[in-house]
Amino acid sequence: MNEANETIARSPAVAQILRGLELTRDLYVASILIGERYSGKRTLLKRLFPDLPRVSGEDERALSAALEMENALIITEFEAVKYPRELDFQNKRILAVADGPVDPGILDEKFAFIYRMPPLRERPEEIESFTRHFLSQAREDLMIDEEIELDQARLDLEQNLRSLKASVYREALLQSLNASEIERALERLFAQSLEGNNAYRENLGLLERPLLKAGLARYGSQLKLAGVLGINRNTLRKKLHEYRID
Amino acid sequence: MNTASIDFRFLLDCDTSPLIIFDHKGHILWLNEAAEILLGYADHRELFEMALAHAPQDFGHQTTLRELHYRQLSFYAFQVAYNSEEWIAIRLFYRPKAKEERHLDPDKLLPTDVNLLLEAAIGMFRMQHDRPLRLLADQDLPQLRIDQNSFSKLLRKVLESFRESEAIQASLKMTIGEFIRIEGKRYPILRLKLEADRRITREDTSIEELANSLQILAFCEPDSVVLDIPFIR
Repeated sequence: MNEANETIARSPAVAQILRGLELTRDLYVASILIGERYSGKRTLLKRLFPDLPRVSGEDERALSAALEMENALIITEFEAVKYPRELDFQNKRILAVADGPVDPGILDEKFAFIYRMPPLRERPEEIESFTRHFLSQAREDLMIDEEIELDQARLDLEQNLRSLKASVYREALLQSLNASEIERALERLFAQSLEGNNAYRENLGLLERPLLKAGLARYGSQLKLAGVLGINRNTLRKKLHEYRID
Repeated sequence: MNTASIDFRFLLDCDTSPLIIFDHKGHILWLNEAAEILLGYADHRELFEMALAHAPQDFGHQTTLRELHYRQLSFYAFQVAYNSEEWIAIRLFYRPKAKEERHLDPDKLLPTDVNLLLEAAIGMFRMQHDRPLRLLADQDLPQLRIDQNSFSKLLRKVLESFRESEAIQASLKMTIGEFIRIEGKRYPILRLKLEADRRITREDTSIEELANSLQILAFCEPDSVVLDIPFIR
């Protein structure tokens, strides 16, 4: 994850947060990082404070015990803490992470430094590097030797790093499948979904639609494609109309 | 004993009421130590104008009751006196203050590089608000003992009050000849001053309360905040 650690501070906003946390890393102050889930808050803290004990705000008892024992602590899921006013941060180095909103009064009372982590979709500098990082991980994990060309439009940033990683893995896997693997995947799908009284026509589209779309993209004209596919031009036009392919 | 040998100037010099003598053009001919401190906050031309406006019609003296505030200095009256066309004097009378008991909790005070805290607080402010802020700080300040978390919160709140200001000027430096007395001990003052064209004053009570809990004197004005921080080593 070293590359991810390096990547995460490439956007100006995150670099600023990193700088602030670095400045106060030896001080006894309470800081909180608020942002969408999987936006890299934990990765950032891991980079700066790899050895600091962590406790989840969901486990109130463990949190109280940790605050008694430790003078420096990472608290994750801070938004889940039920009685935040009772927490004593005096003379402690607290790094908290919140994936959801926290009462502004609590933030003001408990924390000296309040950082807001922007979602990944607002950090274009990092999207490309994270994509590269996940792709290299995917190729290694899935033992893919050939080059993979990712379609940027297919990358999913809805859930930040998590969905980006999933979409990169999915794309890498899709591009590495051979014909027999695709056949197996289809077989599995049909086995699960085949029902009703018109299943042949309904499922034929799974084969015909990608075939026609890819063919049209490759050969450009319907005339050429009809020749390559070995079907009548009128039949091809009907099919394209049926599948609403331009 | 006759009084000719008594140095009256010495007595005036160490009087706690600021006294300034102007010539007829408004230049300062003489001032005592208390007035030197006052001129750190007040404009001498403004004081001269006030003296002219409230001077008795004939030679003599006249006292005017009026609340005057120059940052943390508060006065309830001033006296204007002259017996020559060549000079005019103004003397201001401090508003009596109830003695405030101040206490320190040594367990909460940790040695701190205050410049570092300020830099981090300004960094966070800049992340959230695109406002030009210029800081003039003494980088050679030694460490002072302070409650790091509460002081950082105070800095955040003070900076937040400038979130709608145009060009913000900030300075951090030791004052000369001014002290804060806490539990019978005198501490030099480290002064943080932020000023701009305007600021949001809604949170001033909360700023003052937090400052008070840290034994810091906070002076909140519509365009500035001054924090007088006891320099505890």
